[in-house]
Amino acid sequence: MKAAELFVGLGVAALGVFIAVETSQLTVAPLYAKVGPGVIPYLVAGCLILLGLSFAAGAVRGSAAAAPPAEAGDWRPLVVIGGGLIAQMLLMERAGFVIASAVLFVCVAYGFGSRRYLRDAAIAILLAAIVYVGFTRGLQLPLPPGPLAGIL
Amino acid sequence: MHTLNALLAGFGTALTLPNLGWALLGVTLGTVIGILPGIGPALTIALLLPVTAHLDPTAAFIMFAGLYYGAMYGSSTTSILLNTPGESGSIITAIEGHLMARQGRGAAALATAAIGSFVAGTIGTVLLTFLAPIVVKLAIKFSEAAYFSLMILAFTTVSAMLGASLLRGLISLFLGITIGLVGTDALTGQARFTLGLPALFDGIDTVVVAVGLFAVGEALYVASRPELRNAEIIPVKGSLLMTREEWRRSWKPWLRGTFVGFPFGALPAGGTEIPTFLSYFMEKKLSGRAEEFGKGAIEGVAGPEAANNAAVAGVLVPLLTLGLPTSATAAIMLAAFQQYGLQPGPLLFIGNSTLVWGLIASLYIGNVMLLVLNLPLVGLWVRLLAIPQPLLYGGILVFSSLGVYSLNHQVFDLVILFVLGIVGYLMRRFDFPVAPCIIGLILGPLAEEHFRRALGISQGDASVFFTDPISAAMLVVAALCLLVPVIYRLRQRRGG
Repeated sequence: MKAAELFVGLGVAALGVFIAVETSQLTVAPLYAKVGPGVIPYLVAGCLILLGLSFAAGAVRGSAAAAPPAEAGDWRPLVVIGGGLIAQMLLMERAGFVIASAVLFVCVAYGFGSRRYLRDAAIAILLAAIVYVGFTRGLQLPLPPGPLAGIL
Repeated sequence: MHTLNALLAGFGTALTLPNLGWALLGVTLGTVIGILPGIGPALTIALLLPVTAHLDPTAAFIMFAGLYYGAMYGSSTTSILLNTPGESGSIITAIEGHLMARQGRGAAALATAAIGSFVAGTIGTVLLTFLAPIVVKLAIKFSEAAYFSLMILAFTTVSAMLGASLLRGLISLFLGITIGLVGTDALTGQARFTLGLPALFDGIDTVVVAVGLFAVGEALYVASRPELRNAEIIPVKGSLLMTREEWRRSWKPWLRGTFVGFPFGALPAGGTEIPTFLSYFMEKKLSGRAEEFGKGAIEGVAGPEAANNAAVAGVLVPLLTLGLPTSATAAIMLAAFQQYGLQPGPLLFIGNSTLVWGLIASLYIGNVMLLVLNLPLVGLWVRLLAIPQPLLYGGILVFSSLGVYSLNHQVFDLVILFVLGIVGYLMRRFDFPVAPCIIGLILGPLAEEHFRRALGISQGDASVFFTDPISAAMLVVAALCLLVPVIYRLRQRRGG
């Protein structure tokens, strides 16, 4: 039995249950009652539950259809890159596009094993600044400037 | 004769200076992203969608199609020199071509891949030219019910063909359909699955889904697997001018690869992977040199590389004539058509013949450009492979988040991107194919519309899907796709 695959299957089935419950909460005008906005969601929910349960069953039986590809891999880079993405979300409208994206870049480079922090930071700021100027001046698409507003 | 006239008019559109420029931009960009690991044609077109929104649609599609073709050319270079397939259609090339490169025959492998791609791309485009009008004539007779059943057929074949198992393909497909359900229902204005969040009333943007599943998911996955990092680049050795012997061994695999690849793309079977595998095993049988396969046989590069380019040409047939995407890139291109308020299908050939035939004509021109870009100039592109992986992925994620943020200037979109990135990572981790999910996302809402319109016309009588002959035929084929493997397995189990 493979615990991780079992959870994946159950997760898919749970999504199906969620869709079904949400659909039952829809208020459908009687005019559309026959083929209204709820028909396909119910169908999709049913399929998700069925598929998720068969995947989970396959994981319990250890059948080929649900066989795992390989071992889990290294989780530490995931935390660093995930942290970079969250940092970018939080910084985007507070510190501006350039700083937020440079932080993301450095985190991703670190996650991919680079330890040349200064080089990475320099390239990150340069790239983000070029993109910022290109977007705001060249394409006339505004991006949050942040405290660097006066400089760029 | 009508087709030839239309094609000539198409050349008139494609050969104008601006459109030649867009084609060149598309094929160049395609070559670059084909060579770079971690970024593919579907992701690139998705990122370009917001920027091209104000462009003339003909110009945009000339660029997108050039990009799709170019990615197939470029990815072979990465496969041969780096042993990491640039795109999924080049997995086989990564085996046999890389072995050739290790033996100092890298240049010959690059040459047979590029020329094979040109031969297959050109023949594929000819087949597209003459097949498309025939399919259009048939498609015009399709009812709403037939369209719905056609989409069901595409759903089943795509799920069965792309990925490790049918079950995984179907789960991926339904995940995509579920994401597509979020937002305001097109027919009644009813909000569905928005969790009460106003930001979700317009649904989840295709760009966010594509970028999350492809860019963020891929980056997380590769980062978690150190063995996928830091591959060694083999310098190009040998002459790019193939020897007489190499030509003699290449031309038949090119042609065979073309005729294996094209139908796979053109039928709603989907994908460029399976025809490359078929072509590889076919060449192993037919070349009479089975012992050289697995040690760097040129046939094992020539055939599959032709097959994947022909498949790309084939994919354009159902996309343009029926509005039916059978690959992730085609699905994103369909989203691009929708962005312009265009609906691919028979009516596109009538109402927008300038666009369609300009696009088809530009494919001939793009193939010539790509041959030049990928043979004499290959040394230039190889340098792209020297970009250190940490910087490459850092750049990909910065551009990806930029593309997503600039859609609506909402940080909330970045939150959805993050969630979908984790989903994309988990799909790779547990070996779920991503392409069916993208196809479900784009095609799901269309299927629902056809379904409800068909039932509206029949006054809610569901038997219409079985009494309409075209619709019934497609449902039967779809059922066979699902049942035959199951029956086969049951019989095997009883027999063995």
